Amino acid sequence: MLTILLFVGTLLNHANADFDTDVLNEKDGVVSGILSDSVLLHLPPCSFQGQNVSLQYTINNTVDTWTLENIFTVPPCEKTTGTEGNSLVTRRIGYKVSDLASGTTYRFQFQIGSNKSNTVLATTKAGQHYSGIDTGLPARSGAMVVITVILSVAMFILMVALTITIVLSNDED
Amino acid sequence: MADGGTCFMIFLILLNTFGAAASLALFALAIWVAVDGYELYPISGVSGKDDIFAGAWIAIFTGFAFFCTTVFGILAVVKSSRLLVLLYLILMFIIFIFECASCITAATHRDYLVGNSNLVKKQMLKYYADDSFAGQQITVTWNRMMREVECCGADRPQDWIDYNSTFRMTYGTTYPWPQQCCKRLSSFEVADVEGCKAGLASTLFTKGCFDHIESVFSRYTWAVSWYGFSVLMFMFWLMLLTMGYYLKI
Repeated sequence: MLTILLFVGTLLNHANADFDTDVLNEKDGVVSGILSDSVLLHLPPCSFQGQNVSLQYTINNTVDTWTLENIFTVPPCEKTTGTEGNSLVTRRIGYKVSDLASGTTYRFQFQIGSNKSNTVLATTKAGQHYSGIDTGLPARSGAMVVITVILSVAMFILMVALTITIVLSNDED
Repeated sequence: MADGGTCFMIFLILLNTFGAAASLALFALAIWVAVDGYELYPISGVSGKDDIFAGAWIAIFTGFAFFCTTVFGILAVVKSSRLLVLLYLILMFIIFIFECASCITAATHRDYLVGNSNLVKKQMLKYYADDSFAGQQITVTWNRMMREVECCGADRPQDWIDYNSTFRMTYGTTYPWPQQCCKRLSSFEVADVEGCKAGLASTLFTKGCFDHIESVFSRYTWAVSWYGFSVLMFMFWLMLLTMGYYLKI
């Protein structure tokens, strides 16, 4: 029942939306779309080119809302990144929402005139402290064991052989 | 009988000559490791696990000592003197022990350092951009490495985002990762500063640096630890044969 409700809910979210947006990911050519204090969002489709875009975002399950009016205009439809001769040319592939709190879940929604996008849910990275990384010895590798065992055995044999040699030579005297 | 004895003596002389050459090679290889042409010593030094280099210094000593002792062994065998051969055996045994220590600690510390990327990653996050002496060394080492090897982060650039770091506490979040992660033009300027800040994959190095670090330290360890081990195995048989010769004299 809950699954059906969630599925219908997602459908409705996209069904009500006039256009789609989402967080950028590696397929779009960025290292990560979610940082600890910012999120990278897809631009609205280029069919809205030239129009002003506003963004509204809230912290999930609270009433704190921020609205950024007319933050940018939708760029025209052409290639977004590429090389021209020897220089690297970058055009906009997304919008960066900055000054967010880390480890918090936000809901983002673009608005162009009367058109609204779907609501994107994203959680900023919490930023673990590096002291949590476990730097203990990973495992006993084969190298350690082999070298130690073989050298110990060799040492023992040499010790025994040296003792026997000295004892036998003393017996001869 | 005499011919057999002479044969044995000549065989031992040849083995000692070969041993002298092999131990001189160990001496040279250990010097190469101690010189650290890849300039990655601070990574092991700051972590305290620097026995790859300590093992190299010991191997410099044992390599040269083995060389001197095997040359002495040729003399002892030619003179057929029991005292000299016994002295040769005891010296070889002592050097054998030192070389064992070098091999074992070099192999073990290599596993501590680069068994997985955790230690290198934690050290990078803690010491890069730190003001302390250790921090400065790590910063210089990583900057050079990121530029030359064209890499960023330990496993990947996301390491700088996933964890807090001294770098972020010092410089804030304007730059998610150091500028050395960004691709540069031949004029040394950053190709695309804004793209690099945003994380555009075509403007920064997305390879991790750990592969390079691991291959360098492994190379050093194979030189000191495994080549030293093979020299020891040769000396082991040489010593057993010399003991047999000693009983024959």
